[in-house]
Amino acid sequence: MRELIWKAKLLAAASGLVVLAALSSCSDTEAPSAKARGGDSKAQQPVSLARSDVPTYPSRIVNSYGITSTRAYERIDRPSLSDRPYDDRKALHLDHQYSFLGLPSVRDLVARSRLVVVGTVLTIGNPHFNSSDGGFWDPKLHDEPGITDIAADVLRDVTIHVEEVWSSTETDLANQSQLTFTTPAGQVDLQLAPGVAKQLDWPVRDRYVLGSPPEVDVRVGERAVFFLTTESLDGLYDGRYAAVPAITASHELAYKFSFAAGGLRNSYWPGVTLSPRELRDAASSEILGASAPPEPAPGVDPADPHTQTDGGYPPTEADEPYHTHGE
Amino acid sequence: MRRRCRFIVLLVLAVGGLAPPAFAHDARRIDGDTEDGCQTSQLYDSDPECRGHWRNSHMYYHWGNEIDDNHHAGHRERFHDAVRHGWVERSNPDSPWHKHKNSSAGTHVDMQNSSGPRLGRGLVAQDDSNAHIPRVLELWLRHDIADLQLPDGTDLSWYRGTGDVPNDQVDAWSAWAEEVGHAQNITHFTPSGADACHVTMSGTTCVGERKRSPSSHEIWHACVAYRRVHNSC
Repeated sequence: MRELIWKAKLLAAASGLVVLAALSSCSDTEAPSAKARGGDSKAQQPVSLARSDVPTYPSRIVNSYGITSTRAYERIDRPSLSDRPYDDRKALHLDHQYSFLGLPSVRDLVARSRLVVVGTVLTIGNPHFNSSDGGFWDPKLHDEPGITDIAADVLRDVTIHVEEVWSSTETDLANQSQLTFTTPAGQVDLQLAPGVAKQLDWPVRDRYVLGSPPEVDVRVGERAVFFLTTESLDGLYDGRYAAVPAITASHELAYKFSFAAGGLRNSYWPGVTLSPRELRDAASSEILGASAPPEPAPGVDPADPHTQTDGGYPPTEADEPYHTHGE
Repeated sequence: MRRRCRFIVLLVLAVGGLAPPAFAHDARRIDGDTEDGCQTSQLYDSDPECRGHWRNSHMYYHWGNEIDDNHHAGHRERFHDAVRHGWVERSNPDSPWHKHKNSSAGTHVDMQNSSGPRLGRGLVAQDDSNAHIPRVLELWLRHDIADLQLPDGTDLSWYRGTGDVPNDQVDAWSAWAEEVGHAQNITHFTPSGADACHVTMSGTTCVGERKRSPSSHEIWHACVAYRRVHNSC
Protein backbone atom coordinates (compact mmCIF):
# COMPACT_ATOMS: atom_id res chain seq x y z
CA MET A 1 0.00 0.00 0.00
CA ARG A 2 2.76 2.37 0.93
CA GLU A 3 4.45 1.52 -2.29
CA LEU A 4 1.27 2.30 -4.16
CA ILE A 5 0.91 5.62 -2.38
CA TRP A 6 4.53 6.41 -3.07
CA LYS A 7 4.11 5.58 -6.74
CA ALA A 8 0.94 7.63 -6.87
CA LYS A 9 2.77 10.58 -5.36
CA LEU A 10 5.59 10.09 -7.80
CA LEU A 11 3.16 9.95 -10.66
CA ALA A 12 1.40 13.04 -9.40
CA ALA A 13 4.68 14.81 -9.08
CA ALA A 14 5.67 13.75 -12.55
CA SER A 15 2.31 14.88 -13.85
CA GLY A 16 2.79 18.17 -12.12
CA LEU A 17 6.08 18.59 -13.83
CA VAL A 18 4.52 17.78 -17.16
CA VAL A 19 1.83 20.33 -16.51
CA LEU A 20 4.38 22.92 -15.63
CA ALA A 21 6.27 22.15 -18.79
CA ALA A 22 3.12 22.43 -20.82
CA LEU A 23 2.30 25.76 -19.24
CA SER A 24 5.72 26.90 -19.96
CA SER A 25 5.57 25.96 -23.59
CA CYS A 26 2.18 27.58 -23.80
CA SER A 27 3.51 30.87 -22.60
CA ASP A 28 6.25 30.63 -25.18
CA THR A 29 3.88 30.18 -28.05
CA GLU A 30 1.61 32.88 -26.72
CA ALA A 31 4.39 35.42 -26.52
CA PRO A 32 3.24 38.89 -27.50
CA SER A 33 3.35 39.63 -31.18
CA ALA A 34 6.38 41.38 -32.46
CA LYS A 35 4.12 43.68 -34.46
CA ALA A 36 5.50 47.13 -33.99
CA ARG A 37 4.03 50.37 -34.98
CA GLY A 38 5.72 53.15 -36.82
CA GLY A 39 8.93 52.89 -38.69
CA ASP A 40 9.38 53.56 -42.31
CA SER A 41 6.81 51.53 -44.18
CA LYS A 42 8.19 52.46 -47.58
CA ALA A 43 10.71 49.83 -48.55
CA GLN A 44 13.63 50.27 -50.86
CA GLN A 45 13.39 48.65 -54.26
CA PRO A 46 12.74 45.77 -54.62
CA VAL A 47 9.82 45.72 -52.23
CA SER A 48 10.71 44.06 -48.98
CA LEU A 49 7.76 42.37 -47.42
CA ALA A 50 9.58 41.22 -44.32
CA ARG A 51 7.06 43.28 -42.45
CA SER A 52 7.68 43.77 -38.80
CA ASP A 53 5.71 46.98 -38.75
CA VAL A 54 2.27 45.84 -39.78
CA PRO A 55 -0.08 48.54 -38.55
CA THR A 56 -2.25 47.79 -35.59
CA TYR A 57 -5.56 49.54 -35.29
CA PRO A 58 -7.41 50.80 -32.22
CA SER A 59 -10.57 49.02 -31.25
CA ARG A 60 -12.60 52.19 -31.72
CA ILE A 61 -12.05 54.30 -34.83
CA VAL A 62 -13.92 57.52 -35.46
CA ASN A 63 -13.88 59.06 -38.93
CA SER A 64 -16.20 61.11 -41.09
CA TYR A 65 -18.29 58.06 -41.97
CA GLY A 66 -18.98 56.93 -38.43
CA ILE A 67 -17.63 54.88 -35.57
CA THR A 68 -16.03 51.49 -36.16
CA SER A 69 -15.71 49.35 -33.07
CA THR A 70 -14.12 45.96 -32.48
CA ARG A 71 -13.93 46.14 -28.70
CA ALA A 72 -15.70 42.83 -28.22
CA TYR A 73 -12.67 41.10 -29.70
CA GLU A 74 -10.53 42.26 -26.81
CA ARG A 75 -12.50 40.03 -24.47
CA ILE A 76 -11.63 36.88 -26.41
CA ASP A 77 -8.92 34.85 -24.68
CA ARG A 78 -7.79 32.66 -27.51
CA PRO A 79 -8.70 34.32 -30.79
CA SER A 80 -9.65 32.57 -33.98
CA LEU A 81 -10.55 34.00 -37.34
CA SER A 82 -14.08 32.68 -37.00
CA ASP A 83 -14.85 34.64 -33.84
CA ARG A 84 -18.13 36.51 -34.21
CA PRO A 85 -18.73 38.34 -30.94
CA TYR A 86 -21.35 40.64 -32.47
CA ASP A 87 -24.07 38.14 -33.14
CA ASP A 88 -26.74 39.97 -31.20
CA ARG A 89 -29.95 40.77 -33.01
CA LYS A 90 -30.17 44.41 -32.06
CA ALA A 91 -28.05 45.50 -34.98
CA LEU A 92 -28.67 45.08 -38.69
CA HIS A 93 -26.29 42.37 -39.85
CA LEU A 94 -24.62 42.84 -43.18
CA ASP A 95 -22.78 39.76 -44.38
CA HIS A 96 -20.21 39.72 -47.12
CA GLN A 97 -20.54 36.58 -49.21
CA TYR A 98 -17.59 36.21 -51.53
CA SER A 99 -17.20 33.95 -54.51
CA PHE A 100 -13.79 32.82 -55.67
CA LEU A 101 -11.80 31.57 -58.60
CA GLY A 102 -11.86 27.78 -58.52
CA LEU A 103 -8.73 25.90 -57.54
CA PRO A 104 -8.52 22.60 -59.40
CA SER A 105 -5.54 21.09 -57.58
CA VAL A 106 -2.75 21.51 -55.06
CA ARG A 107 -0.51 22.28 -58.01
CA ASP A 108 -2.62 25.35 -58.76
CA LEU A 109 -2.32 26.40 -55.11
CA VAL A 110 1.46 26.11 -55.37
CA ALA A 111 1.40 28.19 -58.55
CA ARG A 112 -0.43 31.00 -56.73
CA SER A 113 2.02 30.93 -53.81
CA ARG A 114 5.33 32.65 -53.21
CA LEU A 115 6.00 31.18 -49.79
CA VAL A 116 5.12 27.90 -48.11
CA VAL A 117 5.91 27.60 -44.41
CA VAL A 118 5.24 25.47 -41.39
CA GLY A 119 4.27 27.78 -38.58
CA THR A 120 2.35 28.38 -35.40
CA VAL A 121 -0.16 31.16 -35.03
CA LEU A 122 0.97 33.73 -32.49
CA THR A 123 -1.65 36.45 -32.70
CA ILE A 124 -4.73 37.44 -34.68
CA GLY A 125 -5.41 41.14 -34.84
CA ASN A 126 -8.79 42.82 -34.49
CA PRO A 127 -10.82 43.29 -37.68
CA HIS A 128 -10.21 46.45 -39.64
CA PHE A 129 -11.04 47.90 -43.04
CA ASN A 130 -8.68 48.21 -45.97
CA SER A 131 -8.05 51.89 -45.29
CA SER A 132 -5.38 54.08 -43.75
CA ASP A 133 -7.12 54.41 -40.40
CA GLY A 134 -8.69 50.95 -40.52
CA GLY A 135 -12.11 52.51 -40.10
CA PHE A 136 -15.27 52.07 -42.13
CA TRP A 137 -15.51 53.36 -45.65
CA ASP A 138 -17.48 52.43 -48.76
CA PRO A 139 -16.93 53.12 -52.46
CA LYS A 140 -20.37 54.70 -52.68
CA LEU A 141 -19.05 57.41 -50.36
CA HIS A 142 -15.90 58.07 -52.34
CA ASP A 143 -15.64 59.51 -55.81
CA GLU A 144 -12.56 59.47 -57.97
CA PRO A 145 -13.55 60.22 -61.56
CA GLY A 146 -11.97 57.83 -64.01
CA ILE A 147 -10.98 55.29 -61.35
CA THR A 148 -12.89 52.04 -60.94
CA ASP A 149 -14.36 51.62 -57.48
CA ILE A 150 -12.47 49.38 -55.08
CA ALA A 151 -14.30 47.06 -52.70
CA ALA A 152 -14.26 47.84 -48.98
CA ASP A 153 -13.30 44.71 -47.04
CA VAL A 154 -13.13 43.70 -43.40
CA LEU A 155 -9.73 42.12 -42.79
CA ARG A 156 -7.69 40.55 -40.00
CA ASP A 157 -3.92 40.15 -39.65
CA VAL A 158 -2.51 36.78 -38.61
CA THR A 159 1.03 36.62 -37.24
CA ILE A 160 2.77 33.28 -37.33
CA HIS A 161 6.03 32.01 -35.92
CA VAL A 162 7.84 30.42 -38.84
CA GLU A 163 9.16 27.03 -37.85
CA GLU A 164 10.32 25.90 -41.26
CA VAL A 165 10.31 27.32 -44.78
CA TRP A 166 9.43 24.69 -47.33
CA SER A 167 9.76 26.89 -50.36
CA SER A 168 10.01 30.54 -51.27
CA THR A 169 10.53 32.70 -54.30
CA GLU A 170 11.88 35.56 -52.21
CA THR A 171 14.89 35.42 -49.94
CA ASP A 172 13.80 38.15 -47.55
CA LEU A 173 10.56 36.32 -46.84
CA ALA A 174 12.36 33.04 -46.34
CA ASN A 175 14.62 34.55 -43.69
CA GLN A 176 11.89 35.80 -41.39
CA SER A 177 11.14 34.09 -38.10
CA GLN A 178 7.74 35.76 -37.99
CA LEU A 179 5.32 36.73 -40.73
CA THR A 180 1.99 38.50 -40.79
CA PHE A 181 -0.55 37.78 -43.48
CA THR A 182 -3.87 39.51 -44.06
CA THR A 183 -7.16 37.83 -44.93
CA PRO A 184 -10.87 38.76 -44.96
CA ALA A 185 -12.52 37.83 -41.67
CA GLY A 186 -14.28 39.20 -38.66
CA GLN A 187 -17.04 41.61 -37.78
CA VAL A 188 -17.11 45.29 -37.00
CA ASP A 189 -19.74 47.10 -34.97
CA LEU A 190 -20.69 50.18 -36.91
CA GLN A 191 -22.51 53.39 -36.09
CA LEU A 192 -22.87 55.55 -39.16
CA ALA A 193 -22.61 59.32 -39.16
CA PRO A 194 -25.86 61.17 -39.94
CA GLY A 195 -26.88 60.90 -43.58
CA VAL A 196 -24.40 58.17 -44.45
CA ALA A 197 -26.94 55.34 -44.44
CA LYS A 198 -29.02 57.22 -46.97
CA GLN A 199 -26.00 57.81 -49.20
CA LEU A 200 -25.34 54.07 -49.08
CA ASP A 201 -28.97 53.06 -49.71
CA TRP A 202 -28.83 51.08 -46.48
CA PRO A 203 -31.80 50.72 -44.15
CA VAL A 204 -31.38 53.34 -41.45
CA ARG A 205 -30.44 51.75 -38.16
CA ASP A 206 -28.67 52.77 -34.96
CA ARG A 207 -26.11 49.99 -35.34
CA TYR A 208 -24.82 47.71 -38.04
CA VAL A 209 -22.61 44.65 -37.84
CA LEU A 210 -20.60 44.22 -41.00
CA GLY A 211 -18.22 41.46 -41.98
CA SER A 212 -17.94 37.86 -42.98
CA PRO A 213 -16.87 34.53 -41.57
CA PRO A 214 -13.55 33.35 -42.99
CA GLU A 215 -13.53 30.52 -45.48
CA VAL A 216 -10.70 28.87 -43.54
CA ASP A 217 -10.49 29.14 -39.78
CA VAL A 218 -7.23 29.74 -37.98
CA ARG A 219 -6.75 30.02 -34.23
CA VAL A 220 -3.98 31.17 -31.95
CA GLY A 221 -1.67 28.32 -31.04
CA GLU A 222 -2.49 26.31 -34.13
CA ARG A 223 0.37 24.73 -36.05
CA ALA A 224 -0.15 24.22 -39.77
CA VAL A 225 1.36 24.53 -43.22
CA PHE A 226 0.51 27.90 -44.76
CA PHE A 227 0.53 28.76 -48.46
CA LEU A 228 1.10 32.50 -48.78
CA THR A 229 1.74 35.05 -51.45
CA THR A 230 2.48 38.75 -51.86
CA GLU A 231 0.24 41.23 -53.60
CA SER A 232 -1.05 44.77 -53.66
CA LEU A 233 -3.94 45.06 -51.28
CA ASP A 234 -6.49 47.46 -52.73
CA GLY A 235 -8.25 49.96 -50.51
CA LEU A 236 -8.65 53.60 -49.56
CA TYR A 237 -5.26 54.87 -48.48
CA ASP A 238 -4.23 58.47 -47.89
CA GLY A 239 -7.67 59.55 -49.03
CA ARG A 240 -7.62 57.91 -52.46
CA TYR A 241 -7.99 54.59 -54.17
CA ALA A 242 -4.65 52.88 -53.83
CA ALA A 243 -2.91 49.66 -52.85
CA VAL A 244 -0.34 48.69 -50.26
CA PRO A 245 2.02 45.71 -50.36
CA ALA A 246 0.93 42.81 -48.22
CA ILE A 247 1.43 39.15 -47.52
CA THR A 248 -1.85 37.36 -48.07
CA ALA A 249 -3.25 33.87 -48.23
CA SER A 250 -2.54 32.31 -51.63
CA HIS A 251 -6.15 31.26 -51.92
CA GLU A 252 -8.66 32.10 -49.22
CA LEU A 253 -10.37 28.72 -49.52
CA ALA A 254 -7.32 26.49 -49.39
CA TYR A 255 -4.23 28.12 -47.94
CA LYS A 256 -3.96 25.99 -44.81
CA PHE A 257 -3.02 22.33 -44.43
CA SER A 258 -3.66 21.01 -40.94
CA PHE A 259 -1.68 18.32 -39.21
CA ALA A 260 -3.93 15.33 -38.63
CA ALA A 261 -3.63 11.65 -37.98
CA GLY A 262 -2.04 10.14 -41.05
CA GLY A 263 -0.79 13.36 -42.60
CA LEU A 264 -1.88 16.81 -43.73
CA ARG A 265 -5.42 17.75 -44.66
CA ASN A 266 -7.10 20.69 -46.31
CA SER A 267 -10.76 21.58 -45.89
CA TYR A 268 -10.99 22.51 -49.59
CA TRP A 269 -10.12 18.96 -50.61
CA PRO A 270 -11.83 16.82 -48.00
CA GLY A 271 -10.95 13.18 -48.15
CA VAL A 272 -7.43 13.93 -49.34
CA THR A 273 -4.54 13.31 -46.96
CA LEU A 274 -0.97 14.06 -47.98
CA SER A 275 2.16 13.07 -46.14
CA PRO A 276 4.46 15.94 -45.16
CA ARG A 277 6.96 14.67 -47.73
CA GLU A 278 4.35 14.65 -50.51
CA LEU A 279 3.14 18.14 -49.71
CA ARG A 280 6.64 19.50 -49.30
CA ASP A 281 7.67 18.04 -52.66
CA ALA A 282 4.62 19.64 -54.26
CA ALA A 283 5.40 22.96 -52.60
CA SER A 284 8.95 22.85 -53.91
CA SER A 285 7.82 22.49 -57.49
CA GLU A 286 9.25 24.81 -60.12
CA ILE A 287 5.71 26.06 -60.64
CA LEU A 288 5.87 27.98 -57.34
CA GLY A 289 4.70 31.52 -58.00
CA ALA A 290 3.86 30.92 -61.67
CA SER A 291 0.36 32.40 -61.31
CA ALA A 292 0.93 34.51 -58.23
CA PRO A 293 -0.54 38.02 -58.27
CA PRO A 294 1.53 40.84 -59.74
CA GLU A 295 4.41 41.87 -57.48
CA PRO A 296 3.32 44.77 -55.31
CA ALA A 297 4.84 48.20 -55.65
CA PRO A 298 6.41 49.82 -52.58
CA GLY A 299 4.46 52.09 -50.27
CA VAL A 300 1.03 53.46 -51.13
CA ASP A 301 0.51 52.89 -54.82
CA PRO A 302 -2.33 54.98 -56.31
CA ALA A 303 -4.81 53.17 -58.53
CA ASP A 304 -4.41 53.51 -62.27
CA PRO A 305 -7.08 55.29 -64.30
CA HIS A 306 -9.62 52.93 -65.78
CA THR A 307 -8.91 52.04 -69.37
CA GLN A 308 -11.91 50.93 -71.30
CA THR A 309 -11.57 47.72 -73.21
CA ASP A 310 -14.04 46.72 -75.83
CA GLY A 311 -15.32 43.30 -74.92
CA GLY A 312 -16.86 42.76 -78.32
CA TYR A 313 -20.37 42.73 -76.96
CA PRO A 314 -22.19 45.82 -78.11
CA PRO A 315 -25.66 46.19 -76.65
CA THR A 316 -28.02 43.97 -78.62
CA GLU A 317 -31.13 44.42 -76.56
CA ALA A 318 -32.50 47.05 -74.27
CA ASP A 319 -31.83 46.79 -70.59
CA GLU A 320 -34.49 45.02 -68.61
CA PRO A 321 -35.61 42.84 -71.51
CA TYR A 322 -37.49 40.47 -69.30
CA HIS A 323 -39.97 41.13 -66.62
CA THR A 324 -42.44 38.72 -65.17
CA HIS A 325 -45.14 38.66 -62.62
CA GLY A 326 -45.96 35.28 -61.16
CA GLU A 327 -49.37 34.03 -60.29
CA MET B 1 -34.60 11.15 -32.87
CA ARG B 2 -34.79 10.93 -36.61
CA ARG B 3 -37.96 8.96 -36.49
CA ARG B 4 -39.52 11.35 -34.07
CA CYS B 5 -38.74 14.30 -36.25
CA ARG B 6 -40.19 12.66 -39.33
CA PHE B 7 -43.40 12.11 -37.50
CA ILE B 8 -43.61 15.73 -36.55
CA VAL B 9 -42.96 16.83 -40.11
CA LEU B 10 -45.86 14.76 -41.34
CA LEU B 11 -48.05 16.32 -38.72
CA VAL B 12 -47.08 19.75 -39.95
CA LEU B 13 -48.06 18.91 -43.49
CA ALA B 14 -51.34 17.49 -42.39
CA VAL B 15 -52.40 20.75 -40.86
CA GLY B 16 -51.34 22.79 -43.84
CA GLY B 17 -47.97 24.05 -42.79
CA LEU B 18 -48.84 25.96 -39.68
CA ALA B 19 -45.63 25.08 -37.88
CA PRO B 20 -43.58 28.09 -36.83
CA PRO B 21 -40.58 28.81 -39.05
CA ALA B 22 -38.08 28.08 -36.30
CA PHE B 23 -39.35 24.53 -36.04
CA ALA B 24 -39.06 24.00 -39.74
CA HIS B 25 -35.29 24.30 -39.44
CA ASP B 26 -35.19 20.82 -37.90
CA ALA B 27 -37.83 19.50 -40.23
CA ARG B 28 -35.88 20.61 -43.24
CA ARG B 29 -32.82 18.72 -42.14
CA ILE B 30 -34.51 15.36 -42.30
CA ASP B 31 -36.80 16.06 -45.19
CA GLY B 32 -36.56 13.24 -47.67
CA ASP B 33 -35.34 15.46 -50.46
CA THR B 34 -31.72 15.72 -49.39
CA GLU B 35 -28.70 14.70 -51.32
CA ASP B 36 -25.86 12.63 -50.01
CA GLY B 37 -23.89 14.67 -47.49
CA CYS B 38 -26.28 17.61 -47.64
CA GLN B 39 -25.74 19.81 -44.65
CA THR B 40 -28.86 21.82 -45.15
CA SER B 41 -28.10 24.21 -42.38
CA GLN B 42 -25.07 25.42 -44.30
CA LEU B 43 -27.29 26.79 -47.03
CA TYR B 44 -28.91 29.07 -44.54
CA ASP B 45 -25.76 30.03 -42.78
CA SER B 46 -26.70 33.64 -43.12
CA ASP B 47 -30.17 32.95 -41.82
CA PRO B 48 -29.58 30.22 -39.27
CA GLU B 49 -33.10 30.25 -37.91
CA CYS B 50 -34.54 30.22 -41.42
CA ARG B 51 -36.79 33.12 -40.79
CA GLY B 52 -36.60 34.69 -44.21
CA HIS B 53 -39.46 33.55 -46.37
CA TRP B 54 -41.06 34.33 -49.65
CA ARG B 55 -44.16 36.17 -50.64
CA ASN B 56 -44.08 37.09 -54.31
CA SER B 57 -40.70 38.54 -53.54
CA HIS B 58 -39.32 41.30 -55.66
CA MET B 59 -35.79 42.56 -55.89
CA TYR B 60 -35.44 46.13 -57.09
CA TYR B 61 -31.98 46.91 -58.36
CA HIS B 62 -30.05 49.60 -60.16
CA TRP B 63 -26.81 49.54 -62.11
CA GLY B 64 -23.70 50.95 -60.50
CA ASN B 65 -21.59 53.46 -62.40
CA GLU B 66 -19.05 50.95 -63.68
CA ILE B 67 -21.35 48.26 -65.04
CA ASP B 68 -23.67 50.88 -66.51
CA ASP B 69 -20.95 51.88 -68.95
CA ASN B 70 -21.41 50.75 -72.57
CA HIS B 71 -18.43 48.45 -72.61
CA HIS B 72 -19.99 46.30 -69.88
CA ALA B 73 -23.17 45.55 -71.84
CA GLY B 74 -22.19 41.90 -71.92
CA HIS B 75 -22.12 41.72 -68.15
CA ARG B 76 -25.54 43.37 -67.91
CA GLU B 77 -26.94 40.85 -70.35
CA ARG B 78 -25.44 37.90 -68.50
CA PHE B 79 -26.88 39.22 -65.24
CA HIS B 80 -30.30 39.17 -66.89
CA ASP B 81 -29.69 35.63 -68.13
CA ALA B 82 -28.55 34.47 -64.70
CA VAL B 83 -31.70 35.80 -63.12
CA ARG B 84 -34.11 34.82 -65.86
CA HIS B 85 -32.88 31.42 -66.98
CA GLY B 86 -31.13 30.45 -63.80
CA TRP B 87 -33.54 31.32 -61.04
CA VAL B 88 -36.80 32.95 -62.09
CA GLU B 89 -37.85 30.43 -64.71
CA ARG B 90 -36.82 27.45 -62.59
CA SER B 91 -38.47 28.55 -59.39
CA ASN B 92 -41.55 30.34 -60.70
CA PRO B 93 -44.49 30.08 -60.39
CA ASP B 94 -44.29 27.92 -57.29
CA SER B 95 -41.79 30.16 -55.60
CA PRO B 96 -42.29 33.41 -57.41
CA TRP B 97 -39.39 35.78 -57.59
CA HIS B 98 -38.99 38.85 -59.73
CA LYS B 99 -36.47 41.54 -60.40
CA HIS B 100 -37.11 45.11 -61.43
CA LYS B 101 -34.69 47.75 -62.57
CA ASN B 102 -35.29 51.02 -60.83
CA SER B 103 -32.86 53.91 -60.56
CA SER B 104 -33.84 54.56 -56.96
CA ALA B 105 -33.74 50.90 -55.98
CA GLY B 106 -31.88 49.60 -52.99
CA THR B 107 -29.81 46.82 -54.58
CA HIS B 108 -26.60 48.00 -56.17
CA VAL B 109 -25.33 45.79 -59.00
CA ASP B 110 -21.87 46.73 -60.20
CA MET B 111 -18.29 45.74 -60.91
CA GLN B 112 -15.49 46.58 -58.51
CA ASN B 113 -11.75 46.07 -58.17
CA SER B 114 -10.64 43.71 -55.46
CA SER B 115 -7.73 41.56 -54.29
CA GLY B 116 -6.94 37.90 -53.84
CA PRO B 117 -8.75 35.19 -55.80
CA ARG B 118 -12.15 36.82 -55.29
CA LEU B 119 -14.48 36.96 -58.29
CA GLY B 120 -17.52 38.56 -56.73
CA ARG B 121 -19.47 39.42 -53.64
CA GLY B 122 -22.96 39.77 -52.31
CA LEU B 123 -23.77 42.02 -49.39
CA VAL B 124 -26.87 40.70 -47.70
CA ALA B 125 -28.70 42.47 -44.88
CA GLN B 126 -30.37 40.22 -42.38
CA ASP B 127 -33.20 42.32 -41.14
CA ASP B 128 -35.82 41.23 -38.66
CA SER B 129 -37.38 37.82 -38.58
CA ASN B 130 -40.24 38.83 -40.84
CA ALA B 131 -38.04 39.74 -43.78
CA HIS B 132 -39.60 38.20 -46.87
CA ILE B 133 -36.34 38.28 -48.69
CA PRO B 134 -33.13 39.44 -47.19
CA ARG B 135 -32.28 42.91 -48.28
CA VAL B 136 -29.57 42.49 -50.89
CA LEU B 137 -27.58 45.67 -50.79
CA GLU B 138 -24.86 44.81 -53.27
CA LEU B 139 -24.02 42.30 -55.94
CA TRP B 140 -20.78 42.79 -57.78
CA LEU B 141 -18.32 40.96 -59.94
CA ARG B 142 -14.63 41.68 -60.09
CA HIS B 143 -13.57 44.29 -62.57
CA ASP B 144 -9.76 43.78 -62.42
CA ILE B 145 -9.92 40.05 -63.13
CA ALA B 146 -6.76 40.46 -65.24
CA ASP B 147 -4.83 40.50 -61.95
CA LEU B 148 -5.53 36.78 -61.82
CA GLN B 149 -3.42 34.56 -64.02
CA LEU B 150 -3.07 31.06 -65.32
CA PRO B 151 0.16 29.17 -64.52
CA ASP B 152 1.51 30.08 -67.94
CA GLY B 153 1.18 33.75 -67.06
CA THR B 154 -1.92 34.43 -69.18
CA ASP B 155 -4.14 37.09 -67.65
CA LEU B 156 -7.67 35.94 -66.99
CA SER B 157 -10.68 37.72 -68.45
CA TRP B 158 -14.44 37.39 -68.33
CA TYR B 159 -16.31 35.40 -70.95
CA ARG B 160 -19.44 37.43 -71.54
CA GLY B 161 -21.04 35.24 -74.16
CA THR B 162 -23.59 32.47 -74.00
CA GLY B 163 -21.69 29.58 -75.57
CA ASP B 164 -18.83 27.40 -74.43
CA VAL B 165 -16.31 29.05 -72.20
CA PRO B 166 -12.75 29.35 -73.53
CA ASN B 167 -10.00 27.71 -71.47
CA ASP B 168 -8.50 31.02 -70.44
CA GLN B 169 -11.68 32.80 -69.39
CA VAL B 170 -14.16 32.79 -66.53
CA ASP B 171 -17.88 32.57 -67.31
CA ALA B 172 -19.69 35.77 -66.35
CA TRP B 173 -23.11 34.10 -66.56
CA SER B 174 -22.04 31.47 -64.02
CA ALA B 175 -20.55 34.02 -61.65
CA TRP B 176 -23.68 36.19 -61.77
CA ALA B 177 -25.83 33.10 -61.20
CA GLU B 178 -24.03 32.48 -57.94
CA GLU B 179 -24.25 36.08 -56.78
CA VAL B 180 -27.95 36.17 -57.55
CA GLY B 181 -28.28 32.95 -55.59
CA HIS B 182 -27.16 34.85 -52.53
CA ALA B 183 -30.22 37.02 -53.06
CA GLN B 184 -32.18 33.83 -52.46
CA ASN B 185 -30.64 33.66 -49.00
CA ILE B 186 -28.46 30.77 -50.09
CA THR B 187 -24.83 30.59 -49.07
CA HIS B 188 -22.11 28.27 -50.33
CA PHE B 189 -22.55 24.54 -50.48
CA THR B 190 -21.19 21.70 -52.60
CA PRO B 191 -22.78 18.28 -52.17
CA SER B 192 -20.41 15.50 -51.24
CA GLY B 193 -18.78 14.08 -54.34
CA ALA B 194 -19.97 16.87 -56.62
CA ASP B 195 -17.63 18.91 -58.78
CA ALA B 196 -17.59 22.41 -57.32
CA CYS B 197 -16.89 23.81 -60.79
CA HIS B 198 -20.40 22.76 -61.85
CA VAL B 199 -22.38 23.61 -58.72
CA THR B 200 -23.95 27.06 -58.92
CA MET B 201 -23.66 27.86 -55.21
CA SER B 202 -20.30 26.18 -54.62
CA GLY B 203 -18.53 29.46 -53.90
CA THR B 204 -16.10 28.96 -56.79
CA THR B 205 -16.22 29.52 -60.52
CA CYS B 206 -13.57 27.69 -62.53
CA VAL B 207 -11.71 28.76 -65.63
CA GLY B 208 -13.30 27.35 -68.75
CA GLU B 209 -16.27 25.86 -66.90
CA ARG B 210 -19.99 26.65 -66.60
CA LYS B 211 -22.42 26.44 -63.71
CA ARG B 212 -25.26 28.54 -65.07
CA SER B 213 -28.29 26.56 -63.93
CA PRO B 214 -28.96 25.95 -60.27
CA SER B 215 -29.57 22.32 -59.50
CA SER B 216 -32.89 20.98 -58.36
CA HIS B 217 -31.38 20.82 -54.89
CA GLU B 218 -30.50 24.49 -54.97
CA ILE B 219 -33.93 25.38 -56.34
CA TRP B 220 -35.41 23.26 -53.56
CA HIS B 221 -33.61 25.36 -51.02
CA ALA B 222 -34.71 28.53 -52.74
CA CYS B 223 -38.22 27.19 -52.36
CA VAL B 224 -38.03 25.80 -48.85
CA ALA B 225 -39.01 28.93 -47.06
CA TYR B 226 -41.84 29.48 -49.53
CA ARG B 227 -42.98 25.93 -49.18
CA ARG B 228 -43.06 26.24 -45.46
CA VAL B 229 -45.62 29.00 -45.74
CA HIS B 230 -47.51 28.03 -48.87
CA ASN B 231 -47.13 24.26 -48.74
CA SER B 232 -46.06 24.00 -52.35
CA CYS B 233 -43.00 24.12 -54.65
